[in-house]
Amino acid sequence: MVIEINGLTYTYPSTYNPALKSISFQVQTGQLVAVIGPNEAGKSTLCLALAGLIPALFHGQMQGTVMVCNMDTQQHAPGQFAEQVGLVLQNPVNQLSGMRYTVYEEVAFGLENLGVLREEMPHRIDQALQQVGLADLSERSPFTLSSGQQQRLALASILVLEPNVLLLDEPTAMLDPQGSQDIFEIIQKLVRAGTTVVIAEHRLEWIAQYADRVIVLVNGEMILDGMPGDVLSSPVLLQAGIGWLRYTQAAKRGQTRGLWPANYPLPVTLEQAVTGFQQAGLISSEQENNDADPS
Amino acid sequence: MLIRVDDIHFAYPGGVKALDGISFTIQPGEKVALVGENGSGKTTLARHLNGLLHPQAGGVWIGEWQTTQHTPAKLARHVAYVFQNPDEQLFRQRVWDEVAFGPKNLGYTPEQVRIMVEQTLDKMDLSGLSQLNPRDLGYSGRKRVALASALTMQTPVLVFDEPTVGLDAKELDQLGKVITSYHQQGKTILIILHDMDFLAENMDRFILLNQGLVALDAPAQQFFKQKMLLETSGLVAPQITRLSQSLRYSHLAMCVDQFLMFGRRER
Amino acid sequence: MFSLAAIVIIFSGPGGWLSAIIVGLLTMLLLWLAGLAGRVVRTIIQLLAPLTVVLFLVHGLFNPNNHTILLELGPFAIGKEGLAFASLIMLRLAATLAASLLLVITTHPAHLVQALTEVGLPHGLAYLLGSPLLLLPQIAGRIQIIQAAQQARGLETQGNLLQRVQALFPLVAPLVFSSLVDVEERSLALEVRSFSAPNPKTSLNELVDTPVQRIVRRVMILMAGVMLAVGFWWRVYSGY
Repeated sequence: MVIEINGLTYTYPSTYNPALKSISFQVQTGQLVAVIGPNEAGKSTLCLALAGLIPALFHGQMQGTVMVCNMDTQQHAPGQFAEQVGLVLQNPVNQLSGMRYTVYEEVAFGLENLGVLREEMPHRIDQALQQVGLADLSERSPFTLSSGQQQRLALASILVLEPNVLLLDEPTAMLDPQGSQDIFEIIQKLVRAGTTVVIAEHRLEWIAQYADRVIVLVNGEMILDGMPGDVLSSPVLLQAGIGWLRYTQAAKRGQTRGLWPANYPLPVTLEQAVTGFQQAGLISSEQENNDADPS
Repeated sequence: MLIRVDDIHFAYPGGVKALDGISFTIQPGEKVALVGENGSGKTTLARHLNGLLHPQAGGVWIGEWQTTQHTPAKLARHVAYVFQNPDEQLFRQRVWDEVAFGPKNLGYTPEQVRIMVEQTLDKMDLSGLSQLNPRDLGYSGRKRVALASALTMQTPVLVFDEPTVGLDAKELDQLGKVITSYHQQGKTILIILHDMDFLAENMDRFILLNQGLVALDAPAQQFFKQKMLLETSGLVAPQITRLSQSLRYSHLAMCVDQFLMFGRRER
Repeated sequence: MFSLAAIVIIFSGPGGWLSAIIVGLLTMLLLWLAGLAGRVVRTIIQLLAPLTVVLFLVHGLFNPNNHTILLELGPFAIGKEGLAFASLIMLRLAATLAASLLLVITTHPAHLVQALTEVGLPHGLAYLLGSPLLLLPQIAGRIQIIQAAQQARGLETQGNLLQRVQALFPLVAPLVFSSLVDVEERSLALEVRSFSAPNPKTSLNELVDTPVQRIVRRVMILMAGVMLAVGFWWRVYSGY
């Protein structure tokens, strides 16, 4: 088990309600785990706890244990985690160190902090830039990049440290669809190569297709943990304010009209939806004079 | 209030040509989505609509007011613009005061301001938070306060720049209802956004920008039929639209309701 | 190093005028060599012009040491001592500004941070001194956005003086708040890259410290020290 959380309860300083309540789960090497939930559910807090930044930087009250790569987050400084666990945040610009003039130097920053030998740096930096597709922009100033490129730079700056576990807290929130797609593709490659990934996200469509497992956090509590197909079609998501994919909504409501096969599981991907609706014999009606907006 | 954009050109100092000849007209009461990749000129274009930027060629008219003839503060009477980052505009100690800032600037009486603010807070479900400091709210709370501050100005035109970033499904739903309600009052609404599902469910007309030019300007139905163009522009069609396309619907659906209505069983 | 020493000399030199002029000229020489002279001169003129006019007026007219009258304009008299005083101040300011700009424009913040760290300054402090240089454009950009956002809410920023003053708070408060939010996020991002780990750091690039640079540094420090001492002694002994 590369991640083991046991009974984690954490309260931020000067607040009454715990941000996380009694969280327990384990993650195997190479899994892609998605964490979803409404805003303020504790997704970011969970990422910070897994990175060892809570409790080290935030103080507050913590109970339970968090073990990542066999290290207890309460026993080690964040710097000691840097080579095992990487964390990518939402805002691309705020992850730039602001102290380096080129993409290449920016990626080197973490290596310098770790005291890696100068001779080893070029190889690792080149590899990291390759992984995110920024190799031909290595001499550009980080501030002249687009937000999608900056986010990939942030990712490269973390990947250069060769972590076994990669945490991402809504990395595509500020990106356009192409930028998001680029990030997701890199993550997919990393998982195939054996990196364990825990990602907090809102974009259910990608999660449905690529996550091995989905954990649902609401109000600091873990209320669901399972395969995307099951979790993303659970009624719990509707009550919790997370919502369903449109495919799932269409199928559920279609069921009552006989437009979705009775005993079929609800779809969470386009392919599943198409298959199911075709199975039920759904076709376009010839009503082309439907100009009025029905919603 | 009619919005007329007439062949505008704009380049930032430093030479980057952001707008290369854009023209369109928006009728009062339309709901328009402005889409395109980052860098296509969407934000630059939006900033021309309330006079924050002046075109270097061509002109922009909001009703009968040409934007180059008035300060943005004066044009704020007609066009409310919500920026993406709420932290770049919040400054008051109470949500109530923050939301009241706009109408106060526009010269409404204290009594009018009170009514307008309370109405908006109620619509946005912020009444319970009105005495709190906006800074103490989470990101989505601050975002909704920023949205409320613009909505409360009761301008005929509303422009939103990425209003949904950071909102969860429940809050998105509520925003959709708020937009519908303002639209029913006759307001013109323009939204810059990447979230196609939200746009398809709430907007009627789509303008696609590509490198400073209008690549496509059409009602939703025709817009999403242009699959090749959307793909090369880096856009992903809404889930329901793709579903209806895969099932060979003759009339594309923009939301779940339409999807179920435009289909029937074979047998 | 040059800049810091220069500043010290300017203010403590005994021959007020003279040291300021010499340092100023030296700075200009360096700037000219670096190809930056024009830009710096323009910046200095832009920044100092209004202040110069005001100072000359105020001191010319009202300085208590004004004994020698140069010009009479009705009830107003412009005195030589006042003008001399004002010009001394302006000269010192201009020279200081030039030296500071020299520092800011020619220094690569990363090298500055690296140099400071090698000299022994704690890592965090070095960052504090070096980072604003690269982040300034970001802050400038943000100020523009904030101004735009508030204008879009009807705030008049181009009106009379009273309006402009009233507009200050809605412009500054979001700047402070959003910068704080950013700083918090950035410090997390830095932490994740092991920024505050106590182990010794390595560096990608070598900071070349040529013998010439070393000599110049030592000479500057020496000169600054000498000027300080001389200036102090001179003031004490001539009852300045």
